[in-house]
Amino acid sequence: MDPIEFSRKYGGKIQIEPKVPIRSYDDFAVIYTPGVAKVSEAISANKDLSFELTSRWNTIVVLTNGTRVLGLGNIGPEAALPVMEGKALLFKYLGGVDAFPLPVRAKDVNDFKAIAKAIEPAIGGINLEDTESPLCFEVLEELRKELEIPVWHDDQLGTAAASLAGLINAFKLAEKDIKTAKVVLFGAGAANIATAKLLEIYGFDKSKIILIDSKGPLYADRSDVDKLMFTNKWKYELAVTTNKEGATTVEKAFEGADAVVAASTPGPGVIKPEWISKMASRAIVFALANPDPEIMPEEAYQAGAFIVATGRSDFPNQINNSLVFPGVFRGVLDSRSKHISDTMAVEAAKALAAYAERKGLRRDYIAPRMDEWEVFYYVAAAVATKAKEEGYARLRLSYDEYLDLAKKRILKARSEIKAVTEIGY
Amino acid sequence: MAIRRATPSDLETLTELFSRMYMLNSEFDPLLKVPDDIKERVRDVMAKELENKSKLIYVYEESGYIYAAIKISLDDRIFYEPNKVARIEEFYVRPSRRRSGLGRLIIKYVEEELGKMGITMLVARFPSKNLIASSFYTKNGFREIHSEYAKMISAGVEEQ
Repeated sequence: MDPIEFSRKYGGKIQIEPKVPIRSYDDFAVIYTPGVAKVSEAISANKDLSFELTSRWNTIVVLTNGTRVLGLGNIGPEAALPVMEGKALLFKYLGGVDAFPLPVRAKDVNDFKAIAKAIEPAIGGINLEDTESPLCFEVLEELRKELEIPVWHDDQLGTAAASLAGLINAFKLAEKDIKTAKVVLFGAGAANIATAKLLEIYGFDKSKIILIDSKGPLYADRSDVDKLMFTNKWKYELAVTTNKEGATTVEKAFEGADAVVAASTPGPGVIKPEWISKMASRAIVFALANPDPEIMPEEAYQAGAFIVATGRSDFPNQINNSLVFPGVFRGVLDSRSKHISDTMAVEAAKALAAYAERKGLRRDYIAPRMDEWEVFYYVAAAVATKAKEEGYARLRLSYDEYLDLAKKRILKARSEIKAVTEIGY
Repeated sequence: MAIRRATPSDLETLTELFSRMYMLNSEFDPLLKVPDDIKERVRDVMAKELENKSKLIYVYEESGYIYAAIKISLDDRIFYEPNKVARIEEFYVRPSRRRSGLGRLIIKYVEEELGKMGITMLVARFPSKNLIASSFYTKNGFREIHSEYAKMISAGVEEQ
């Protein structure tokens, strides 16, 4: 169906519905006044009770200013709404999370901070989305500091955690050691800057990572790095700590590399086969741009790649943030976590990788597929357990309890959506 | 690893490092825009100043590679005490060696060298919006004593 017709037919993709039984008008005395006053009094005495006595425990917002929406760029908050609605639907369908789409007029970090702090009492988490770089880094950093609810930027951490999950398994299959690996991150936007961070936490040697942007490999003494110190401290940090070999050309960067993770501009033809040929034996190639990968899998294999992954579901080895965010939010909400740390993102990646490993790794199966629903339970339980370990969890349960909770809540959401589909709208 | 006086053989490196400094300055304010031939200009001036006794140019070198350079001018300041001051005109540390204490090390070295010459005051000048420089000098014991304000004017034409 035409997406505009589809959207017009349903008038958007989500709605808010009551979840308590309403049998008679008498029920309103409990649902609303006068009964509800008791609930308010209890929360007033202990604000954390808002996570038990209201829907806050399962409610997040999908927050954006619409400055970097999909491949469409700065299209503004109103135009970002259908995308945020779609994301909200995925949150519910895959993770059982009630997500409210919230495109806002925010031009800088202070606007975002004011908005986020103002809405914090009503929500259990924030998923930041489709906001331009480097503003997105600043917003994530500041909101993580200022708020007592978990904040996640999916374009950074979701993609990075999915990439790490794929790399963990690809390195196993290729029998490569992560500690000595040379990794090229092709594209130095939000996703790969976060990927560099997660790779380091996981144990990769940061000095052997090379980021490549539109000007070529990033290295400490590149002439535009001075400016980055003031305009993009996250990229600056990587400029001075990665690429210790000092590669100044793309060819040099690819030479002997064990893996390349491309999150740049849609291909094909963005990554040249001759660059792949310069990589080490059993080369791992992730070409994640959508809709068309930076190099088509067939071309990468012909050039000598051992394992190829893309962002597309119609090729094997799909590396996609949709594998990550539903489970991550299920986990932080189930543990009522105050925070999502980078180490929790790494736990999510490890849980994804372990799931695929249990199923049996193959060169064309390094990460779970999107239709392997149960993976989200494991991601959720791993994230919740880490939140507990790191002292962020308000609700401290065992791994198995978190796993059961996630499973129950995701299955419930799935059956509700099924019921709606059957009723028909 | 050593700090040493620059020699004419360092001309190209000094040109590169100080040009970078001016190009970075240009990011802070349109009134600090640098000309397209900034490198040539820096090279010409440095070639002369390497011979000039009132200019002190030092470089920090490690395994034959220069990571930082500083140029200091010895100036008269006749209406204030002390009359003689040393002024940091250019100072650049490569990104790969920043946040490692190298800047502080160089300032300390310069202070010792100036002390031997009887100079008791060191002055630094940098764009007001360069907050990193401001923080660096403050941490190294400097404080703000002057402000420089600028505006573009149209000579002979009264603004309406």
